[in-house]
Amino acid sequence: MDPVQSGARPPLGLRLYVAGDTPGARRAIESRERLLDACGNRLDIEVIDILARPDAAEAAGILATPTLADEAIQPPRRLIGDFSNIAQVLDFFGLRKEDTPS
Amino acid sequence: MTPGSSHARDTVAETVAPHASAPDFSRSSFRLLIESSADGVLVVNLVGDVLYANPAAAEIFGKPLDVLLHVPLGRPVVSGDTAEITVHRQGGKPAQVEMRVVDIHWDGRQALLASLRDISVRRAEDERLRQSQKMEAVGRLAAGIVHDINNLLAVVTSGLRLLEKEIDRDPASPKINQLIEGMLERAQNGGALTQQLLAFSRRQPLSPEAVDLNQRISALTQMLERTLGRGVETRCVLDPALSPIHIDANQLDVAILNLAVNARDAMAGKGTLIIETSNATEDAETDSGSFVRVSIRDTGCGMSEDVLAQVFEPFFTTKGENEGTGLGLSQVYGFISQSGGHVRIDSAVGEGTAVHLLLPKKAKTEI
Ligand SMILES: Nc1ncnc2c1ncn2[C@@H]1O[C@H](COP(=O)(O)OP(=O)(O)O)[C@@H](O)[C@H]1O
Ligand SMILES: [Mg+2]
Repeated sequence: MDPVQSGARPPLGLRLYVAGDTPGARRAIESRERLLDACGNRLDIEVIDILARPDAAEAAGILATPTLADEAIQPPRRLIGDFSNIAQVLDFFGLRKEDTPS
Repeated sequence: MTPGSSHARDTVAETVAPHASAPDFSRSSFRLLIESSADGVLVVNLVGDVLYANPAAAEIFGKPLDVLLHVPLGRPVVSGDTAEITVHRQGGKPAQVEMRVVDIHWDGRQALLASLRDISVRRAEDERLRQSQKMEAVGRLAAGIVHDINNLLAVVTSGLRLLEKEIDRDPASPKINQLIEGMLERAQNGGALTQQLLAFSRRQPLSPEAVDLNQRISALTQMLERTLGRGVETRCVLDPALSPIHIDANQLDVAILNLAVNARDAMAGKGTLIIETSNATEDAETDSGSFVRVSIRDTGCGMSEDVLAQVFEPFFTTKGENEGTGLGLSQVYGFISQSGGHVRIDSAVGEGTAVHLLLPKKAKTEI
């Protein structure tokens, strides 16, 4: 990744809501790693365990986990379920893998 | 159901239940089906807003239907067939939910139909099942121990008959004492067996002691001969230079008895049982200098590779309901491994079987 170009845009900040250490949560955290690998510094994903921070989930109106959310926009854009299809996830959040800032 | 969605329902009907296979499937019965389905059904647009929810879905989310509609839930995604999600309900227990997703058209637009199955109950049932399986295992183990104790009783009974004859023949015979000693040892073995039941719930520590293996085997075989029946010839080939070993003597007797009974069963009452001891020499896998070997050979039916692959599993048996418990070889394996030894089996169908026990000369320090 070209540091000058990526510095031109602030990274997209997503939140990953999980609940404890379920198989689903583990898969989601693995997917998070892969997403970060694919995007370098264009992407930032904060993990929120709603068992540890129930208030955060309630404030955001999270009904189910794992949820991956872009809360910088209104209404927030969210995915729920299994995020292992990286391309699909990047697409949803407007971060195509081959996307190069112009 | 929102007004104006009847055409969309129609589309769902086409997606989910083609008319070809259900010619009389009317819209209202389809609606009834969805509304009364035990699975939660959600229709969500591509942005993730809920467009339709059936009562079961409302129940899973613990929210009234009208609240659930237009909630920004998120776009459901799965990889493969399903995804497992956790649904959080205010003041309630979270539900484990299996989610499936299919693409549909809803009001002329692309949308997603997510079907949700609450598997929390199934999970709890799995847990209960595991528990009852363990109880069943305890029961079967008890049955197995009863079976093994019966073996021992048969040995003691035939020993007593021998004793009776010997006393008749010559009341001063030195064999009398030997027989009594032998039977006392069998009674101890019985005690050791009941300890196995306890060991199932809490691991019973073994108590290794210095054992003269050859002497132990001689004492056992004397008792065995009657038990195995007239058709079975028992031969011992014992290495006089055998090193002493440290092992739990009771469990070792039980193990050899288990192997001898297996040999008898395999030979259907006719054949030769050979028990052989030696200082282990060549064995690449183990540090052979520190083991002695006991081999129990029979001229029985042998085992297929398929059987061989499973013999150490508890409860694996090829014998009938009242003949086999499948606990013999699992005792042997469990005990020998716990003692720091190894078990090897050579066997082929029609060629007999040899079970080799490699027993450590020094006791394993922490067991
Ligand atoms: N010496 C042997 N010859 C042939 N098959 C044997 C022998 N020992 C064990 N087996 C096979 O292994 C199975 C498991 O043995 P085991 O654990 O002692 O249980 P059980 O004797 O109660 O069936 C037996 O049912 C039999 O099929
Ligand atoms: Mg057996």
